[in-house]
Amino acid sequence: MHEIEKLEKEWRRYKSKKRAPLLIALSVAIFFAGGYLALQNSGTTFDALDVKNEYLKKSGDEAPKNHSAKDIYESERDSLNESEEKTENITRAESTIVQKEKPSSADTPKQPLVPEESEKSVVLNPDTDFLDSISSTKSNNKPQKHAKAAESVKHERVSKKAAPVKKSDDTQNGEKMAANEDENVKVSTLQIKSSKTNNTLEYLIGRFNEKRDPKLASYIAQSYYKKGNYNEAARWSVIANSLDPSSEESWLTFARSKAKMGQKEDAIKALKVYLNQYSSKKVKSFLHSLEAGR
Amino acid sequence: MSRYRQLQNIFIDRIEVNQYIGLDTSILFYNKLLESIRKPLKMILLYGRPGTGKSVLINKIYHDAKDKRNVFLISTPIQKEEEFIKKLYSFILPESTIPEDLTYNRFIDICNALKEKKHVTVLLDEAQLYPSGMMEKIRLISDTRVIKFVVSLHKTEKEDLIAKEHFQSRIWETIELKNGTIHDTRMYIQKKLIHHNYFEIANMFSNSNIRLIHRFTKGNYREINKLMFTLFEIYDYYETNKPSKISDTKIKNKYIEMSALKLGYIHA
Repeated sequence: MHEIEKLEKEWRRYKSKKRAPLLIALSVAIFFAGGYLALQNSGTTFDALDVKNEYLKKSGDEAPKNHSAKDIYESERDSLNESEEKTENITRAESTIVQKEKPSSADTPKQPLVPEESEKSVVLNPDTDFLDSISSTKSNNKPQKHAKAAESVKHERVSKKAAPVKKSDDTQNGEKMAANEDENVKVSTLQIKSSKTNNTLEYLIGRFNEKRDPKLASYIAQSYYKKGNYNEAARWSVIANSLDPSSEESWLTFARSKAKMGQKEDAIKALKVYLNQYSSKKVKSFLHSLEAGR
Repeated sequence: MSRYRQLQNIFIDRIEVNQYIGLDTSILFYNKLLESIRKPLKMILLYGRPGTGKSVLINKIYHDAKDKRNVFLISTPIQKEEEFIKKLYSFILPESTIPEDLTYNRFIDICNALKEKKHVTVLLDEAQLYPSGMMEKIRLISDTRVIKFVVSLHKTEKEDLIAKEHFQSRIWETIELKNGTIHDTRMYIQKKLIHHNYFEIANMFSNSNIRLIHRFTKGNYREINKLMFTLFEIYDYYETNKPSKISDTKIKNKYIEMSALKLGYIHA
């Protein structure tokens, strides 16, 4: 081989050697950038809420899988501990009532409670029942209205009859509920549920005020949305979005709430703004459905 | 002979008057040295790293001033004292009158006799090669003011010391030559090519090429010559064997890097 050709070969080696650190640096930078983006995405999306949503849709009693959702759940449980301690009999009665009221929910695969976790599941029952009721409002407004109407009627009945119930202690309540007919039992159950739900949201809002966690804000927004309070849902979506603008769920909840309030244009505008910066199949499909229904 | 082989010849390192390239800095040094020669000084020290253009400058000065100002050049150091003295004698008096028993002391006597009557300038290139004893005698000869010495030497720490020891009290003028800047490197290459009517080759060198050449050679003219010689050697090979690999309009940095590899400036 000619000397110059050897030199050319040597030059190739020199170039590859010279480029190697650059390539390594570049690949490391890409790796870290990818990792950073992945972390950011995992931090901004509402995986936890998704899990929670699935969990809410599938069954109200299943334990949450995500940390944040778990935290929320535990916090809810803490807030409810007092009433749990007091109303062991009530919760027993309640669980039986739930079974009576919702035989279909017992068919879900995760519904049956593990005996060791019976206490926890009993603790969680009231809240998830509430969420079930919310989910039913989401799927169909009529039953919600019906339920609300029924609730108000029952509430009136309770207010008439409730004096002994309110005044009586927990054991008395339990005895009464066990002894009463189905209607009476349902009334007492509704009373317990509504009070616990309010406490939970209040607790979550209090917790949010302390921690300013965008996930929590989004969760509150979703809770309001499911409850049918779309104005509050939109407001909390804005709060969640101000803390984490990349959050898909906050944009979706905002748009859904706006759509529910009849402000489809605002909803579409918001979704388009989001899609200008991020890509999301979920948002796209919702946008299409909104535009189709316009 | 191919075009690139002819170009190689331009960059063969040799000390000739026509090798002198009038760069801004070299013109400045040239004028400064000429001005110093006009002054009534005993010694002038011209120093710098090898390849900074000392020898070319000294040759240029000699070429331009020999007839007007009694300037003489000893380009290669004369190691034997007797020969050296005889050479100096020939600069101030006719060679035919050199006494056979000319010693250093006798030469000093002759110089003292010629004081105020004769003035010559002797350019000593590569003065670092003179033994220190000889340098001491050169210093004493300069004291007679008949012979003014322009001492050109490489700059090293050791040689700096020699210069200080021997000439400190007598040197009135010091000129330090340095490596060229990027601008000097560009001007050096282009002027050299244009001087030999290779205008189109001069235009083939981009700023990027010049920066690369300057990076490898650090602006040292001897190194630039070596690199350019090797570059055109590579071009000559490709022109003869693989003409499609070279362009007629620009120089590839690849071939400059290959030249640098060959010369050991960089390593694979």
